[in-house]
Amino acid sequence: MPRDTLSPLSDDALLVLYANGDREAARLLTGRLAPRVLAYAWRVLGDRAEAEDIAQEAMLRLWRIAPDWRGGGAQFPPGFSRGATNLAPDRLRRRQGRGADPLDEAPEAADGQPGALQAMIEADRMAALNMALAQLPERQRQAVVLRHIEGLSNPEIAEILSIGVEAVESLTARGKRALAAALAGRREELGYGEGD
Amino acid sequence: MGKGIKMTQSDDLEHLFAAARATPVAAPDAFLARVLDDALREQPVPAKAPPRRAAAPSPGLWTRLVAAVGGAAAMAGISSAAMAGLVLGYVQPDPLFSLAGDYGLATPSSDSFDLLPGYDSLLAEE
Repeated sequence: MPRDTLSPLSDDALLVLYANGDREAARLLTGRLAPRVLAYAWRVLGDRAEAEDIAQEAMLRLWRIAPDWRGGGAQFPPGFSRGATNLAPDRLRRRQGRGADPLDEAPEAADGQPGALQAMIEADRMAALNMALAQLPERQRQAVVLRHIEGLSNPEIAEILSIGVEAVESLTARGKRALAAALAGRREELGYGEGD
Repeated sequence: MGKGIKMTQSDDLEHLFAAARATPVAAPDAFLARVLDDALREQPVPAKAPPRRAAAPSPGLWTRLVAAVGGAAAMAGISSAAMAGLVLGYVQPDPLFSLAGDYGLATPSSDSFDLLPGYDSLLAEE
């Protein structure tokens, strides 16, 4: 089916088409979801190569559950989200066990952002945010990224992390306080002046 | 003042989160290609219609006509009979008469062969 015809469709609908053998649906889903999953894995792991491996594995899980997927309105199929979030910490523990530095890299913004100077400022801000995120304990980092960057609801995060909603609220609140403290000394450097 | 600073820092954090949400992350082409390869390799094959019986070409018009008449054998019989009638209608039976003469049978003239003799001989006796 032509791309123009499929583009307005939801991820759910595209996944059903994919399961029915539509190759264009596979291309569109890859373009929509893979960068998001990669960004999430990158923020959690702090390592590009491993983030790519994790994202590819998570997408592979998506392709394999597609024949049984019947929709449901969630942004990602629950099994897919849980798979992505569960794979990343395993890798993180292995990296930390080898003494690797999770701060060596940060997600790069795609091209096409307006203004070179503004782009540099935003890139510095994203790098600072990702460095601060990397300093959080693992569960706090996952909860904060899922809540405040991925935009999931607390019940969705609770399901993904297999914890209660109150525990999610606690994790995100503590995570935000820790982030604010970590970034407090860099306000001017990041372009947030005293008057802002 | 402490409360004001915390408020500002919270606003900064919300701004950073919003910027992170709005900033698309560059996914390398090679990574996307690997994901797409997986997708196409794992993609279910659509269910196919039941297979047709082996190599049964669509019957042509001639085949349909033959089948309507009664099959190729019946068509062959009809053709033979039609051809025999056609031959008898145009070819005089001279070979048949010469064969009859060989066995002492009367051989009427091939020019006049009366299949219905009429009543002339009966009338002559009276």
